[in-house]
Amino acid sequence: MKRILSLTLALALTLPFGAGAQSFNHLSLGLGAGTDGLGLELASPIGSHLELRAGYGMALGLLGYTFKDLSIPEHPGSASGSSVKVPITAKLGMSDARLLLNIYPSGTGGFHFTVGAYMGAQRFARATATGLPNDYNTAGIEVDDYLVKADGGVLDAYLGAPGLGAPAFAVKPYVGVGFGRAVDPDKRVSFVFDLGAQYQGKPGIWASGEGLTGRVKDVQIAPESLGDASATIDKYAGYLTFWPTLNFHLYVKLF
Amino acid sequence: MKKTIFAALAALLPLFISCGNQNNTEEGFEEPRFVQSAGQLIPASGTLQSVDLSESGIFVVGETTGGGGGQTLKARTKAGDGSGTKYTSGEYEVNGNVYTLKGWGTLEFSNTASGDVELTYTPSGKSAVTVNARFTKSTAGSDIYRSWRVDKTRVTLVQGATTYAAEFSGCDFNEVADFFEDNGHALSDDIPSGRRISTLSITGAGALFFVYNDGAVDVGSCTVSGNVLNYVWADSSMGYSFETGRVSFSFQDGKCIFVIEAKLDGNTTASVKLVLDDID
Repeated sequence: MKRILSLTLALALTLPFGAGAQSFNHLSLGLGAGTDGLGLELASPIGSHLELRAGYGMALGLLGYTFKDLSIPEHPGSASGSSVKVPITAKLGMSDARLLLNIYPSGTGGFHFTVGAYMGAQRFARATATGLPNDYNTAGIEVDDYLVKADGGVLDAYLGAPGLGAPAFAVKPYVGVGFGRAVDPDKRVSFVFDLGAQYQGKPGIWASGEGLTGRVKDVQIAPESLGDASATIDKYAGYLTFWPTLNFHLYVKLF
Repeated sequence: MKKTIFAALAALLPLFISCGNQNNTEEGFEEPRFVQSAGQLIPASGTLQSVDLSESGIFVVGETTGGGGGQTLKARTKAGDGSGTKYTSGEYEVNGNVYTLKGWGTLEFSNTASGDVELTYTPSGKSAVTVNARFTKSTAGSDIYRSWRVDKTRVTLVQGATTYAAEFSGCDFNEVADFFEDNGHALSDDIPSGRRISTLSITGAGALFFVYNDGAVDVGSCTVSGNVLNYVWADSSMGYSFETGRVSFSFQDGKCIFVIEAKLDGNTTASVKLVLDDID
């Protein structure tokens, strides 16, 4: 991933900014939607071959899917005992800032490469288990003295990965291709399509835990702690090392 | 114009950067009200067996019952006394050398230093009795020496790399036992139903006592070494069949954390963590 980023940036630096073209002389505001959530961006050209995009996106609660066949132990500490099936609903849950650079091989065309990074929260999907047995309201999994347990039979968790950053501040490098210009000198409104992937590393399951003295902190739960569901979760987590990113943006040139 | 654009772009970047506020400062505890008056009295004769006075103003009096009435417990400190002892607990006040033990009576002795003293005690409604006694004054000097209330109890089962835990308000040994049983580790116990710890005291004179919501009292002796407390119970009215053990303790966020660990079987380690609030 680092090599791809380096090569792409090197390519960008070899491109001429464009004879006579000005940098940061326009600014567009864009609204987008995609697998990275709903986004708001500002974009400005750097010469005729580059565009700098910065913005923020979130996808809290979008695109839900419910897994109905996952089993958990009836008593949290008795993995070998009886188990019960509980529905677990997963939804997108990312919330991050982004800094992207569009690189246009042609000074006038719309095809572009994009490099950059998504930064902020490591969470990209939320999961909610409902109808948990009563024991889960008082008992659960303890990680570093923080207890993760349900409230009223409901337990919220999330899938998170820090990419090249840290759990407190994820940095997920992005590489992709696309079509369209965020700032079209000749049009007030423009459309941009992007397809790429964010490297986020193998995600983990995280949930809020309460410490002995009442402090609250997000802790990572080992998949093997979740009984029969662990193999399924581990398999899907492996697929999500790269987050496929497909989005469309509508830009309005402000000036 | 460029400055405006850069400022606009830059303004978006720091959005949603997590700024966790980890306040790890340890809080000190105020000195208990009765730290200068606390200690342990062991009378040399008579029906009064022992008096423990915590730094926080809680007392436990042990009296010979002759085997009848109240809790029948073996005497813990007076050698050769095979009769039962009834323990009574409550709060006390001090005025000079006079201790008023609420619900029990009064004591009067010289409490300035450890050593042999002349003790006059007057149980409520009875005549005063004067005996020789040994007074062990609290060594104080540690935050652990005081009385505590149990805020909550965390019970854990460590199985391989996973720690399962349950948390309960206060401390009810039945809830603890139920958790172990539900998760495949039934304990041998005879715990009275509904019994909860009201206060827990560790004194600088080497006493440890639990006072329960139904008035029952468990007493024992203990020594503190660093962050470890070694204890010997003189009885087992809490219901569990163990009499000796060790507890590690630490202080965090103005609370004391008691951790009692035990090996249940080859693959499972258990612990009971009591989160304690100081009474003062």
